[in-house]
Amino acid sequence: MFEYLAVIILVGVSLFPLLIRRIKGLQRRERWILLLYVLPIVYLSVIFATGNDWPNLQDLANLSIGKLADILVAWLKKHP
Amino acid sequence: MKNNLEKQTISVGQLAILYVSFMVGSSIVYIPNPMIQFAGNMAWLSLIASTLMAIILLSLALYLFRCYPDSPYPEYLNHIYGKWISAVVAILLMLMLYLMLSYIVLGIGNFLVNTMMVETPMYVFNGLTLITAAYTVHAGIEVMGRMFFLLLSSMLAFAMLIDIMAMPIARFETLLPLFADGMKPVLHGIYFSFGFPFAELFLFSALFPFVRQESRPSVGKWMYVMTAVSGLFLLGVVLLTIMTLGPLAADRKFSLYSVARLIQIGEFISGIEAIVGIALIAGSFMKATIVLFILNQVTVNFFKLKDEKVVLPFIAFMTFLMSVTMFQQESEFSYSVNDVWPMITLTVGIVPLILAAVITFMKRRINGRKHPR
Repeated sequence: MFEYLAVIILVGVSLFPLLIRRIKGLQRRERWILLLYVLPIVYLSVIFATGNDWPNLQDLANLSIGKLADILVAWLKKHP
Repeated sequence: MKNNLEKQTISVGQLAILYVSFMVGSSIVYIPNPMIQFAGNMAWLSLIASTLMAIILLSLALYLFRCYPDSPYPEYLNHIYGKWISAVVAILLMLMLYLMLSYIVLGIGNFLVNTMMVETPMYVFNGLTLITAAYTVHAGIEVMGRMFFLLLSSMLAFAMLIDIMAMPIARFETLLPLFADGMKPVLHGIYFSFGFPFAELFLFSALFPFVRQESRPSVGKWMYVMTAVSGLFLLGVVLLTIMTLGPLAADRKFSLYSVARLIQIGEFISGIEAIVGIALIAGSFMKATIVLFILNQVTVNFFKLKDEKVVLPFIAFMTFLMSVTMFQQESEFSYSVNDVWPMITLTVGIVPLILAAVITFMKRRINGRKHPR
């Protein structure tokens, strides 16, 4: 778990310097929009650090559009 | 809101480079094996059909670009569908782009872990790819256009070199028999290859407004030619894979890399697969960078942010976390890419684009009849 936390911190430290100069000029509305991103980031960080198999975006895709894809692919795989 | 598009422009040649990087970049590594699995010896026919379908799709995207030359996709959908429907399309598009970027990054990690660096954890490659891509996007589309010329040239040069050097071991008889299992395998190949990468060309509608005004008349010509070039290039790779690997072509992952491993000329040219691997990964990196750029632009336009780079670190970080948490097993990744992804591009990308083109055409025709010249 500590290994994964270290990876999260390292990647974060590498990416977020891009933001440092820009954050002072942000309006209140823009700060709220960025806060929206913090929620899924925290969720995904917990999944990564703990190794839990919690729902992710591809699960949403597989459960919705995936059903239609399964029907089509099953038909395509059926050979006479 | 200040028009950020005024800051960055590219020439039509640079757009063409970005386009070929996008179409061929990761496809050259990941297309041959699944296509041959689905379509068998007829994979080349599926690819030709997908390329022709892509040209039709491109004509619709270019038509909408001519109607709305200064609005990027999906911003111009506001004028066609109205505010709320276009907002739903934009949200679905953003989710699709997050998936797409995660898959590309995961594909890079998958390739390196499976072929060259088997002991290294995948998050190392995913993290390095996204950090590099984020800084490249931060530099701007002009820098991307100039930089990708070198990367693309090396990638295409190495791929062509492999094709030429593998010709002595190619056997034409492995292309037979034709239509052994009927038409369905060919249709399956079309479903896969159209979904990845050809249908994804609709995303370039987001980049057309970056082309300089004086270069815009020749955008269509370049895009058609580059679509054909991309299709021919992939066709060459698929044909060569079938002819060199024969019955093993469907079983070998990363076919071009496997072909490169077979090449030995005399006693002094062998083991060139490592160099080829690096060139191939450069292609995937370029595609990841372009997708990250498009996702950033779509997000900025959707939220109407004044600073177009402020959300970039969040997008990159979230995509990194998605790429390392999405799949527990490789078979889940294969299922998502091979079976589900083509349907996602069809429903989220193609259908709204086709409808938008039809509605725009009908509106202009009706307006033309109301106000004849």
